Amino acid sequence: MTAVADHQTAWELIPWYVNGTLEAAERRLVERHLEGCSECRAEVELCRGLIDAGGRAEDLAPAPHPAQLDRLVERIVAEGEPPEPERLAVEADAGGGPVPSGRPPRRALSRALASGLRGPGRLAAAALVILAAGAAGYLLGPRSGPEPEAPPPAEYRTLSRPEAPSGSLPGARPAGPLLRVVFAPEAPEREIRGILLAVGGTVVDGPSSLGVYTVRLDAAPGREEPLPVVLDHMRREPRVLFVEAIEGSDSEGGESAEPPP
Amino acid sequence: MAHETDSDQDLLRRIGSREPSALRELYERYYRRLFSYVFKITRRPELVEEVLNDVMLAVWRQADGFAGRSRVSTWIFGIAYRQSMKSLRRDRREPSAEPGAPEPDELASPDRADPERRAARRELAAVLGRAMATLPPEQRSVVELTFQHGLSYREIAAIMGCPPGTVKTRMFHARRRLRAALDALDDLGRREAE
Repeated sequence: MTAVADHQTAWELIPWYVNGTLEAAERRLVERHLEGCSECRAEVELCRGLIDAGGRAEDLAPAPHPAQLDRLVERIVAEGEPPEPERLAVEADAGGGPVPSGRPPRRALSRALASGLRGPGRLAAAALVILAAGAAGYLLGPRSGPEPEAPPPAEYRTLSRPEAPSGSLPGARPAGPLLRVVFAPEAPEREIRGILLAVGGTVVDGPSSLGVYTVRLDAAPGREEPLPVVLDHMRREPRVLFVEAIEGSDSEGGESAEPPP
Repeated sequence: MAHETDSDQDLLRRIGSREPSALRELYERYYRRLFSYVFKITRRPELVEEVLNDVMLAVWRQADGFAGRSRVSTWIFGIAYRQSMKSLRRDRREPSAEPGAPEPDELASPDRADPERRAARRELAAVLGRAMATLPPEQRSVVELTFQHGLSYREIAAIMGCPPGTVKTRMFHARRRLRAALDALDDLGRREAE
């Protein structure tokens, strides 16, 4: 090999010389060349600097939240077997197949109603009925009619984002999604506080005469959980009779089709 | 059997026989590496969860078809690469035109170094981050897999489904760009020192 070809080969291999993955013959070639080539030695320093500056990949990312993991696995398993792998993203909607966009949020609704009827007070039950009707209205309304930003037929719908936010700007996240929440009337204040603290929520309005709180989620940036995870978490709380995202405050993901507990 | 000592291969076999606990374990094992990788390629924080979910869905569905010709990690990163590129394509926005994405250092990294070194490292990381943003996603993938994931160029070629020579070429172009950014930083430092 000529000196020029040698230099070229060595120079190309330096990133993998530095990360220690070259095979023995290649490593020897680079080492031999480095002895007489200051340009390549400088390149070795550059590549070491790149490793150092980037840090280890694992250290950069947040750890997964256990609830998030549970939920994802639940959803994936509920998906069952797909006929065609390439339709994966389209079929990934948690409902088990493509969902017509006008489908009502039946489970959220029936669950809220059911828990309300089992719940402790008629006032709360009445609040739930009113709220649920409202929820159905605002969820059904824009979805059943023609939407101004209706996605094209081939738009992907995925596990975590059932509806592609075609109009949303990257990074332009609103201050925090708003929730309507009804707590069990007998729930002590400290329990309500605990529930809100756990999800990073702040009461911004309420309780109304029907016991409805408006709660804003203010988790620290980069650490917030997807809204569906928060909603799911809250719905598992026995003290929470009803919780629903207020439309427009953030995109709610797939609540209409969550798997049964 | 279900134990934390299961190798990746064991986990994949269990996933192939439809054990949800194995899927959960594998996801937990790979989550942070995949998160970092997908974020660096797409540079779009809002796409990351979605891509990761799609990756795990694909793992669940295709685990029994894993032939064992490559390492499990190579197979999974290959899926992550394809899903990332797919999500960029369907998003149809140019990822490099996304100045708002936080640099990796701002994401989470707990830094154990002393403050001065930490500041220098942050500056370096910021400069490199901006330079990385100007690279095409294919080049970013090569850089990431090499320097942050410590993979050989042959493994990277297998992940990205291209010849090893293409990996080297992409790295060649990426290094030129990164080198230019660092030279500019040095130059700035020298002028400030004067």
